[in-house]
Amino acid sequence: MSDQELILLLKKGNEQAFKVLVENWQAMVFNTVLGMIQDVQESEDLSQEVFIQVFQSMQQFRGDSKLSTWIYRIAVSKSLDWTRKKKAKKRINIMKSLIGFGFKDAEPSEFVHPGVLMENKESAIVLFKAMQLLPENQRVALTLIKVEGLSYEEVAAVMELTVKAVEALMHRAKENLRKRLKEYYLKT
Amino acid sequence: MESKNLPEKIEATIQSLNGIQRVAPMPFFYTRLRARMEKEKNTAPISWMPLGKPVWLIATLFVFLVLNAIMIKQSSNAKNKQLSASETPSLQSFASEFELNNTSNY
Repeated sequence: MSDQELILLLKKGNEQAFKVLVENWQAMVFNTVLGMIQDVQESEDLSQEVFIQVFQSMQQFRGDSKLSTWIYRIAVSKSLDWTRKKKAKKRINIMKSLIGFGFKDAEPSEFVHPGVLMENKESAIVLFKAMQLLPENQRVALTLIKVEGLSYEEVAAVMELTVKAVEALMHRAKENLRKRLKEYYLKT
Repeated sequence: MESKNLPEKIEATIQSLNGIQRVAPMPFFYTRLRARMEKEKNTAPISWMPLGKPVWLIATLFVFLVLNAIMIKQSSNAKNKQLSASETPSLQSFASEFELNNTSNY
């Protein structure tokens, strides 16, 4: 079934078409969300939310971009919202613990991406930790290219930027990672 | 002191995602998704209810406060009237009890 046929059926509320869409794109959504939020348990819930939003806003999809680009955009936006909320919650808990109204959150456990090659696991744990400290747009570009394997052109479409801008983002992301990793390795 | 192989270590770390495999969710993802959608459909708030909108909530609160203020004012007015009305009979009964309202010939 082509994307156009699928979109037409989805706009009519066809359940079978929705099932096809989920089965075609579940790995792509889950993997993107996982790379962004670095939490296996929460990634399932958030991926479900992505598909619920796809289902609910299908009528607003005008077809200006590819269906996959539109789904990636929703997945990235949901992941960024989740990360912002988590950071805000963490700040509130720190404030509460400072004034004696609660406990500071426990340090999150190390994130081990299940798809990383065995020999790279230890380095990947350090890299994912350093990625959390990058500015949002650099983190999005790096995750989509390195974790999800998209091309610069595809990332440019998802982020609504030019290819040159994505290249610049990737360059800055790598520079920032080098700085963070240097600090980390000198400390340990 | 900076280790000699630090730059290589950093580059190796940056390259550690090479060959990463895409990860899929647990099996029966669609079944769990449909179950969640059904559950949310059944427990969704009634969107047509006007009181659900903040503007209506504020308006309702305002009306409630105004009604409260009117009720308090009315009840305090009624209390004052009752007090002034009840003061005269009590004075009269006091006077009659001690026969103060009888004019004496002596």
